[in-house]
Amino acid sequence: MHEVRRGIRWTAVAAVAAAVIAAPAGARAEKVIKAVMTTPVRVLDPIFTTAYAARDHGYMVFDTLFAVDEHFKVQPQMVDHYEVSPDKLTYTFTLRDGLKFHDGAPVTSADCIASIKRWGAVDGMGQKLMDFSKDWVAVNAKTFKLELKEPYGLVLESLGKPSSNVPFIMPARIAATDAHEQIKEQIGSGPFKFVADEFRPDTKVVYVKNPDYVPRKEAPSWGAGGKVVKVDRVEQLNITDPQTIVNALISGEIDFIETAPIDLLSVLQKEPKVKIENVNPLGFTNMARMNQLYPPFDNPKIRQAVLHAVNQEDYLEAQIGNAEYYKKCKAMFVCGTPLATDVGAPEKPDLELAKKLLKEGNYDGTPVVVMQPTDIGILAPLAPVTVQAMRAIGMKVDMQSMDWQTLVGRRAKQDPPAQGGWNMFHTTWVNADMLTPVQNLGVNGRGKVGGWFGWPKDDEVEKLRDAFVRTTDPAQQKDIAAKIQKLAYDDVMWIPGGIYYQPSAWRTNLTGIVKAPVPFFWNIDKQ
Amino acid sequence: MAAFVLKRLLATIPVMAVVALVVFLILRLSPGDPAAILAGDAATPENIARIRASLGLDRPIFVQFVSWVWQLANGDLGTSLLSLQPVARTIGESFGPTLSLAITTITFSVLVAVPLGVVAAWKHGTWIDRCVMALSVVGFSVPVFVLGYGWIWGFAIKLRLFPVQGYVGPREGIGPFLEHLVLPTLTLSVIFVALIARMTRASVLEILTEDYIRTAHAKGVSERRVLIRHALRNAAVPIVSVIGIGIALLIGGVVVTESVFNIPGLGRLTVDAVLARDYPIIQGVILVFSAAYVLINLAIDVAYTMLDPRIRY
Repeated sequence: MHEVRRGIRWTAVAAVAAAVIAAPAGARAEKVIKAVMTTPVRVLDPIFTTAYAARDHGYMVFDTLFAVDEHFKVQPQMVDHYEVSPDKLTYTFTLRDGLKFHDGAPVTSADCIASIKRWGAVDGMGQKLMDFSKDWVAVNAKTFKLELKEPYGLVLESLGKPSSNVPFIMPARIAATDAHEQIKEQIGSGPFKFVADEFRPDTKVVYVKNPDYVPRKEAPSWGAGGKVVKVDRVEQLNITDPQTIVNALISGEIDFIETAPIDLLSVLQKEPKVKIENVNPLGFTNMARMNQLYPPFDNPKIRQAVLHAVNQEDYLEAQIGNAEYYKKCKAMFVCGTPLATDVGAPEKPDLELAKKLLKEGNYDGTPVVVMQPTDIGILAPLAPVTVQAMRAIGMKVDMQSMDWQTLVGRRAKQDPPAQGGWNMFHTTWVNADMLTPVQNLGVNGRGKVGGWFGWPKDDEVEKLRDAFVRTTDPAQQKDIAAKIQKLAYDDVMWIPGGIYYQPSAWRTNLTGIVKAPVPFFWNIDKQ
Repeated sequence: MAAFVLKRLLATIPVMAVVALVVFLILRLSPGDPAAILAGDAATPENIARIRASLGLDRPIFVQFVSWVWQLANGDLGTSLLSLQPVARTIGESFGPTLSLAITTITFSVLVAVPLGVVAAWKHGTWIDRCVMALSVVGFSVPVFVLGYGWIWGFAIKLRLFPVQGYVGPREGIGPFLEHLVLPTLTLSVIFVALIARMTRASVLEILTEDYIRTAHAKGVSERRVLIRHALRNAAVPIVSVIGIGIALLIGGVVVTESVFNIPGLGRLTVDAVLARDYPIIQGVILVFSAAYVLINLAIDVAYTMLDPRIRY
């Protein structure tokens, strides 16, 4: 059979093989990782957009001053050492030796300051840091200072923010681009170089090893530690069909799938040369979000009714259906992390209480417009679960199915639901974005101006968020976070729908996959 | 003939102008906001508004349309809102895979379907005819993705004869280029073989009842010569029409096949652009599609005159 197969192979394949055999002795085959990511990179500016694909691209091409490790500690990355003045008003940072951009220019203080300022113009955590900043001063080419107006408890946490938007460092001339316009060059100082000529949006993005990158000596730990690149090239392919992704991994045409399709795991589990493992220890959180600008969800009693009507397990079963890859979680700042607490959360679903609250809220039968995205498998099951629960307590629901991008456009509208607005939508979050009251947009209480979609207005929460960033004491921060969560549950700023995990899958000839909330390609070797 | 071709080419201008206007208006009036998509999930409404302004999407639709038409008049299809890549380059890169797949599919389909159709007509009413027609019904009926997965399972996963997915350009070697096109071509060809075989059979059957065919038989012309020289040639006009429509459909994008085999063609480009509300790409692709349809129809009309001297323009 083998001979027959060989016989009908294309002769060109033999010619290619012959050419390979005839290659000069000692020539080493290029190590290439072919990976399929959850979403393809379309936008290449990780500051302009909060899209996770752009963030992942940023980690390939750019580097960060600080990074969070697996123990939630902020560690220096590009920074060699830093000092904090006794009054905690001045932070002095000194860069490591040998940091160079991909165009050969050295990384300087001016580059770092320009990059941080651009990030601070758009990112919520960055804006907060900028509010507290008096000045950023370049002391010399390698040292710069942050002077604060008053002590700020999250300076290092901000500069080491692990997820969108990550404060990546780029050359000052590129960082001079308005933060609301995309940068036109991909010159960073990160462990990989972007290959512009091979970039095909929606199809393929290629990175090659940056030979000038000087990794830290420490072992890799999340985004911190040594970013040692052990392959020559990483090709990220956009294969849209889940079955084709799985088939390509089985046949060895690709090496790595960031998120293996849950319903095809049984196929992959039968393959001896494929490994399946969850490498994102934090996972993802489901969120149900109500629009507080319009009836009926302008009424807290009715929001509470929905909160008590829904069951996290229903969401997770509909969405994942495999208890190995989900867990119930009441903590708004992610279970198993420093600020996690159950305070304020309902004990369990209670339909009778929900009906009582609905009655107390004088629900008048106003139909609730729930937007359901049908084109994203992980999101599609969430809305029907909530809709079922709302109907069970006597609410009228108008579930409108649409593609995710229509939903994204529509949820930005502050118009009444009858005029193109909405009452409710569901989304999911990478938990690295949910860890603190500053990052977690669900507890943003700024309302119509400065708030996140749904626009809850809660001045008490905002005062507590300010108090959270002012304190540098972790115990106080934990206490404040608990108070914020209590208020957020009382006000039903959002409904947590449980945590789920999406395992990755890779060929067993890959080793050294870094477990982290973001997919990293350093430390991975290919045999 | 030259005047006819020139006239038809000039006629494409108003056609494409109407297409451009309609596409532009449909996109601007349909739900979805490119700025919100660009900004990402965690962006605030303020950020989205600023991005919208930086892209010029907050300007009146008429102003945006005039700006785009001016760009087109200068031979510029614009740049992608998301990737900032030139639209012409993006379409050009996707056109190669689509054209390759269209050529291999139509070539294979014609080579298989026309003889099948002729034989079915020649052996009208026999088991051969019934087999060909039964197979063509199956070809029409089986969904493309079922066929695609079937071929992949058999030829790529089990026998390891062909790759599961991907596209390799001819510049990277004719062997790999063809190797990657075999399974998608087989998948797409099934329906075209069915369509062309049925059309060929029907056309040839009709021609076989003509007086000149009986005359040819009476003159002692061989069966083979009657079928090929007299019947098939005179039956070719409707067959060419079907082939032309097939090419247009294939150029227009075969999204399912491109997705199953991960071929970065125009179909996937269009779907991805629509989902991302990447207006310049959608507008550019639709213009290219409309131009392709007009030109293919023109080519079919010209082919008629070669096949049937009675047709004159």
